[in-house]
Amino acid sequence: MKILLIEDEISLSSSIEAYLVEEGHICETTNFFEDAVEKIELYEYDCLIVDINLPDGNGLDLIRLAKKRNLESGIIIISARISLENRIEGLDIGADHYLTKPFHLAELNAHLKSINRRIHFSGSNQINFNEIHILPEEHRAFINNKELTLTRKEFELLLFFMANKNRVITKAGIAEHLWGDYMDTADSFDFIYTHIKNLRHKMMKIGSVDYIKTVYGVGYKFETST
Amino acid sequence: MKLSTKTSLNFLSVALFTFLFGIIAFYYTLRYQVDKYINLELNKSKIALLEQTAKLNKFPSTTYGNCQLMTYKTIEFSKENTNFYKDTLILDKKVNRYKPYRLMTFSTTINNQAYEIQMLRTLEETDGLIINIFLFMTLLFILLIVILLIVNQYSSNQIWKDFYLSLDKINKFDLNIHKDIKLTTTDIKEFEDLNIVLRRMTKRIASDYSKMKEYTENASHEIQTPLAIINSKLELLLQCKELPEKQYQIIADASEASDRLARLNKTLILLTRIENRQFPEEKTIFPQQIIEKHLNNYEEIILSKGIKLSTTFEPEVNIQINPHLADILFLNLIKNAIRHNIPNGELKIKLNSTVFEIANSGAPLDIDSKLLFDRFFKSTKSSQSLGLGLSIVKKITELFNIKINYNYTENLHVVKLFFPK
Repeated sequence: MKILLIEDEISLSSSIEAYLVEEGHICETTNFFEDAVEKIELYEYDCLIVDINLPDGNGLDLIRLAKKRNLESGIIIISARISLENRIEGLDIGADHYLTKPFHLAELNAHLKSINRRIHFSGSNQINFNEIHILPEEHRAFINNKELTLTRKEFELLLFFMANKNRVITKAGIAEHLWGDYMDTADSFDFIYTHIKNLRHKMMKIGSVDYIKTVYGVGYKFETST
Repeated sequence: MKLSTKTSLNFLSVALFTFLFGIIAFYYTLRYQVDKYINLELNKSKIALLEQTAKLNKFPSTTYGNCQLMTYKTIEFSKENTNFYKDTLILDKKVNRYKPYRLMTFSTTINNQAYEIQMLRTLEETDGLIINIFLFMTLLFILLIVILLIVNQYSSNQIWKDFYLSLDKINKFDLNIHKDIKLTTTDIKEFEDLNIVLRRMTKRIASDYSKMKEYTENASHEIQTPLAIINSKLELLLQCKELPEKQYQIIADASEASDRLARLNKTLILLTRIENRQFPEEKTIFPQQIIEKHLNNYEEIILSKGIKLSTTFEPEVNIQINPHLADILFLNLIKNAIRHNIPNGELKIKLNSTVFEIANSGAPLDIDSKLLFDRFFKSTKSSQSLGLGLSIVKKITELFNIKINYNYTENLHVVKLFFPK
């Protein structure tokens, strides 16, 4: 995907860029509003990642501009503002997601993947990887055409792993993704362990390779290259 | 003690003291004056008696005006020229009662014979007069004190009215609701000075407070960005191939700590925003829907902990509240009841139009339950918790006049919310 990242904190934008480039995206970064305006007007991107508070302007205006140009691109807001009004306003003017800082890069990546599916495979929304076949909209997953019966959380977990293949995902990152405000991170580690154990068991039982590896003390990794 | 009571008491004690001494002094002065007058009368009678005796050469009849001759006896010469007075009681045989008299004893010489003569003057009327005057004066004095007390009380009430008005205003003053304090102007200089000082002070406090709130919120938001940088860098670091296991552990610990800091910060922002009343919108919401949504999200956890859930909902219960805060309110209470539950414990939820009740099994609190809703209160057992969940609950309930109450009965922690009528 071709992504435009608009974030004034260079340290943060460089991390995001590094992560996204590793994922195979083309990522352009700008730290200024004016620069971003120019880029949005001249080029086309699959996705805009926009920080709201820019030193020389408001990120929301960039979203309005992109919408005015009738771009198909997905929009993710990253903001330090946690209030609901900001979130609602952002989503109202057409953003797909609103992430509050600090966020996990894996989370951002998962959102990018879902935007990617929406843009490039509009309608026939599905994920295929080796023996795994997932229909995200229908909440169904198959291994070698045999259906996996997963609980809601297990399914979300599988999707999250598929979006972040070959990445070490921290337990906190998983907890945040699965439960958000519903669980305080540390409380949820036991549940994550149980969910992952069950997911692995269910997948391998119908013939999947054991992809999910434990990174001791840190988290998990969906490893495709052995 | 109220100031007016205090001044009244002071006044009363001084008045009583003065009254007691005054009345005693008054009595003796009166007595002295009356005695002097009676002595004078007795002396006049004495002269008349001596004149008549000289004329008649014998003791005349016994009565001289109000005075009467009592006794006379012959004495030695040596005792001549005595002349003294005393009060005495003499039995009145007609009514068989002692009556007061003033007795004058003097000596004189008649026909070379020395006599000691005693003369009497009745004190019945004068004593009666003294008592009447005395009683009248006492009554007058008491009346005066009572009237003064009443007047004092009334006038101090009038004077202090403005003061109490101001006091009431200060008492009800809430920095979160009011911008400035509205004190009524008064014509008493001291109170007006006080009001001026109060107005100036509250204005300054309000401005400091709003600056502080602004600062807290801005600071908290500013913290989010560096935290995002730390988190993202750590996450990138984790992606490095072939990191030694030891270093993974270090990064994981750092990442966990920064995650926790981020959560803490977000929660503090929320608390500040609630305190700043940045959730003004109120709607009719149905708690049952929210509660069921939350319970649905916790379904797996409830199941895996083996918690026995029971819910009783009275249909169509609704309350006026900010929808977002309502969501947080019930979420925090349910989260709390699940987190602190024991394996195979109970979770009971009851809702009717006046009360929401949530109860969960668990060991009794190891810290004073009064501190339960305080910030950063945590049980010693759960070091990972932020200790802010219930304090948010408390803030929200305060905002919407919902009364909250906690108790521990039959191994159940019970939190009740009483909705305003």
